Amino acid sequence: MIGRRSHPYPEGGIQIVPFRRDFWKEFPAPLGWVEGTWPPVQLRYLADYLTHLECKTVLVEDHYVDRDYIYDMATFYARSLRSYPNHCQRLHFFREAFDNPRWKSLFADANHGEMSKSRAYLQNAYLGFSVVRPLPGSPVGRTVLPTLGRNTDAGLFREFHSIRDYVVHLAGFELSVRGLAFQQQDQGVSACATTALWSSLHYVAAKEHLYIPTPAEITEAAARYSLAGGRSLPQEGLNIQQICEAIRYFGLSPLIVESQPIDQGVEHDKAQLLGYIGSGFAPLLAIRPLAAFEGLQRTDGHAICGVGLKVSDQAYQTNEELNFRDAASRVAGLYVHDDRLGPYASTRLSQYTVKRTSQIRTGLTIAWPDGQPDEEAVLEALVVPLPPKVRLTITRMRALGLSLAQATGQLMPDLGTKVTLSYRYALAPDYREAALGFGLRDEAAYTLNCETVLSRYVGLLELTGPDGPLYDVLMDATETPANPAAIVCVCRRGLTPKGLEIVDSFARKIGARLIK
Amino acid sequence: MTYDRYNRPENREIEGNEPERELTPRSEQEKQIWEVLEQARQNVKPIVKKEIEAEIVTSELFNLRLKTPPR
Repeated sequence: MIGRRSHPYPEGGIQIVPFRRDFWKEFPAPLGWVEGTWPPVQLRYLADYLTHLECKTVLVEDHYVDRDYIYDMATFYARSLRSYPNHCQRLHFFREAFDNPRWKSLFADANHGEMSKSRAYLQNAYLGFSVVRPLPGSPVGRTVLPTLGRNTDAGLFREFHSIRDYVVHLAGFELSVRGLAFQQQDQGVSACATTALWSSLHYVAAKEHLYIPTPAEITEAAARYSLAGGRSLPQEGLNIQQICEAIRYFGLSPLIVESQPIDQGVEHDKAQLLGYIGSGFAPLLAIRPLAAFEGLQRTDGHAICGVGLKVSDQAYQTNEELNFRDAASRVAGLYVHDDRLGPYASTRLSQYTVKRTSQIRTGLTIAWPDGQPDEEAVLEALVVPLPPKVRLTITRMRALGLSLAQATGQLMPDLGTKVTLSYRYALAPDYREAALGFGLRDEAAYTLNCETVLSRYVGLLELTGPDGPLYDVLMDATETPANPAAIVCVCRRGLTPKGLEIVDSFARKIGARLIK
Repeated sequence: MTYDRYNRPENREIEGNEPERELTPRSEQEKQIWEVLEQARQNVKPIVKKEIEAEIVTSELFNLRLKTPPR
């Protein structure tokens, strides 16, 4: 008789384990020869990061069907000789210490009418989750953890504009965590560029109500017309052309900005990073390790996702010919999702002199949570997935903003060189809502909010003096470079009567309506 | 409901059939302010030029392959 295998439905289970700093030891090395190091760097980074978040407890969901992994499985792993399971484990992290009896009592309380109390306890302690894939060499799947607090130990500030809420369902409890999804590349369906783009799309696609693709779908979309490495699977990296193709496929428009050398104190790259990351458009950053950049090694690049900014509270100006401060000078570093390391990896920006050319380029030092440097690289380019109607670039915004800031600094000498220019995109409804808190006169607020037509996204130039905002310029983000794009100048509290006259003349010259 | 926003006086100037006239300053002070603004535009031109160049993608960059280098 031929034995037939039945396929019963799986049984799940939940375990509670205390979190330890060497949490990665919970993951035994796979049997057989492991090509890379064990434990993977990402697991050790995760343990370090969770230690900084003061994690105390790990709740393990034994059987979890992960949307990203199951698509990877269907695309690639189902056709492997080894029988990869189609499910994962999911780890939930909590900052409260509790054991299995306590978990069961929380559950029992919920079952006896105390759901809100149990849920509140779990939510207050919840630090996020990490999916553990059944892939021996690359277990870290979709992981969402919160960012660290606003203040750094060095007196700087963390700013994250591309994080969002993720809803998590655990045994009947609805929990949430605010962050941006990270995962390790598996080298089957995804390489670094795929996972960096996947992270980037997790914010902008959700914001634009677009479909959020899985890594396998990104790889398929990228390889539709062009194959950089000869075959699409296993993944052998993407070139920038393929990344653009994938971005277009998922309903967004790619913008490429090549890194520019630092010249006369002007840090062009910082301005671009501030503009796009500060607007919530997490860019994919193409970087090259130092050795590769100096021509000592192969020349392939690496991709990371720029998630946040590390800023100081004071802008400065080093170019004596300029009468204003550029908010870009506040940018001291970044927080990046680096799939070779982990989420929100602290990255210091520096000026790196290239030995071959003596050019000064933007250097990046990516570090572990305790500050230990991991890798040094040079920025090559930003690839920004933008909503298609955002045609006005940060560069074009700056072209107007720099002129206005320079003239403002000159015409309002009592401000010294303390006029600061910043620039970003804002959603028009968000700006209108914020404007109701500016202290505008009723007529001015009414004109702005009820009688002025704005594009969905506006380019926002903010000029600020030592005592607060001077004026804002809203630009039509749908406009092409050939046409004027300024819509309104909104006068703010820091403007004197004399300053108001100046801004009135600016507004007339640039074709913008004055709101005063 | 009427679609009369195009007929508002402030929009007629822009969208009317009259030929566009060159914008002229309303006063001597405004003229000076515009001159300063134009001078400022010239001052920052080299910065803007570099940044516009950064958006012109070279084929070398377009073909740069991003693949995690071995550790």
